[in-house]
Amino acid sequence: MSKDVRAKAVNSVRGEYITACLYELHKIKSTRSSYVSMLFSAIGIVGLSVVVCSIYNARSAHLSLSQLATTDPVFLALSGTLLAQLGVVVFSVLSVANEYGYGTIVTSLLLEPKRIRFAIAKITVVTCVVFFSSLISLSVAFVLGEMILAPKFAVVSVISFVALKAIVGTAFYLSALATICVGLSFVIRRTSGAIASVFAILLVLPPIISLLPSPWNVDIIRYLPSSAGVVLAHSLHLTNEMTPMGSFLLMLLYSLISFAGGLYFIDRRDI
Amino acid sequence: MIEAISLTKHYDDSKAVENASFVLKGGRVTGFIGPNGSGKSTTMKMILGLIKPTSGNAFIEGIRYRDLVSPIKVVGALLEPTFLHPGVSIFSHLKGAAIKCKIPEARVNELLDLVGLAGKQKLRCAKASLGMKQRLGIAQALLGDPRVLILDEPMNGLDPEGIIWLRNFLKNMASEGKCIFVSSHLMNEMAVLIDDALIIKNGVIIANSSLTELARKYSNSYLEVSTTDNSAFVEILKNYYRENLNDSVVLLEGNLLKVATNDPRWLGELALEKNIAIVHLVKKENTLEEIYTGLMNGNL
Repeated sequence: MSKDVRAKAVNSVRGEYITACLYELHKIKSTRSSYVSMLFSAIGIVGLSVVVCSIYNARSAHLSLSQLATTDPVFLALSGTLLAQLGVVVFSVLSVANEYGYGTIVTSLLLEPKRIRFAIAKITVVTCVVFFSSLISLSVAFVLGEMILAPKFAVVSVISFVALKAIVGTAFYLSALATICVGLSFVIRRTSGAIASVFAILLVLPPIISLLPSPWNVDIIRYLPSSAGVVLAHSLHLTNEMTPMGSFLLMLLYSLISFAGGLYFIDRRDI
Repeated sequence: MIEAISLTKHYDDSKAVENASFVLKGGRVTGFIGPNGSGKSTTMKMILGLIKPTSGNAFIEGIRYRDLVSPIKVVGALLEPTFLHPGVSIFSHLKGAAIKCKIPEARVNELLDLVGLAGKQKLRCAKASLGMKQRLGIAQALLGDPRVLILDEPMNGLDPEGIIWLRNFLKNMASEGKCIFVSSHLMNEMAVLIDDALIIKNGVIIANSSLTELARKYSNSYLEVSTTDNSAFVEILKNYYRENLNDSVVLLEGNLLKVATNDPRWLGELALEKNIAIVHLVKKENTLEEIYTGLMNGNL
């Protein structure tokens, strides 16, 4: 293949990929559930952070020295993530499961018979939408939270390395969660099943594992996605938990596994 | 052109399609006829790369659907009109397909106009009637101005005007050299629409020929006669046939005689010879529906 022909082929593949992404973006933009779920996330991130920071600010006089030492103002300002997960999960699961539920997957695959490309475009768009929208809400939540906490706590500036690491890390956590949801939804294909599975991993698994005798419980819990999310939103090092880099790699690994599972199934199954 | 080579689809507990081979050429409307669950949709979905054949292959214009670079510009398909997101507007649904295929927005409006959905752009799919969804599906199939059309039950839910429009439109497309593949249960509609018939039963293609060929092969054309003295005329005909070693071709139903011949002159001369007057004579042919029913019941 000559250099020119190869360049043209690469260009055309890139063009097909871009239009596939634009189509996915159009689908997200034209459904109300996307706006509702992502708006819920944004309000959750900002709202819960403001509430939590206000409570800490009001109760600061009652905190013991040891409590004050373990209070992480960065985490308090990003605590809305815990609520935002709900919106992110619903948004990303619906982006796939609705296609199967309503049958629009038929149109999608008629328009893009290359299923791997379709799935990659879907995951790219959903993950990017979650990443960039959370980045904005998290930044807003952080600035507001630190403003509220500033009189009583040792806060850090939003443009400090510590703050940026936590904000980007948390946005990464939410987008990795979205990738896991999309991959899983391609495997499960049913809205109820996919949402139940994700919430089982996020909400049900941690308390069940904490029933195990020590040290098994802490040894296992630290490898759950929800623990990774908490670590990434902190600026302080947490005992019994993984390092931020470890949590980052863990989420990356879970995303890749789920993504690979999704690709495997969509390529092998009928419709 | 659509080409199917030994298309076969087996599920764990059933055989949906068995060894289906056919070639559908441009310039013809081919009807895909068969009872519910006979494998029509499965065959169409295999051609469109939505269902993986257990064995065999299907090609559109010589290429597998999955390998087409811009599939919608080669083949337009309508499978299930209700496969729409209820919250998305009619315009938005079609716009999405246009974005994916780099088709300008003007074409979207042009098509909505063509299928009679102008003014319904903002209507949510949840509020659209079956007929409107069907029209939207047809518009989507036509979006890329394809050379091949694959339509599964496109007349379902259409009003009489819509059916007539679609019939003329498809015939027109075929006359432009396009290859049209339509499935339907409406036999009388198929009889006036299609050039060729592909008949499937229990996943097996049992007939694949032009409508005229089908009629010639399976239709028993006959003359429906009534005379001034039916009972006498029956005897005369029976005697005639007995001499010609065949006595099973005259039937007296009420006051109408069914005579298995398509030569009215011979019948008239015979009546004249015996001084009987023919008062009613109509040439009858089996309809597509009768041929279909006969094939399904194994009577033909």
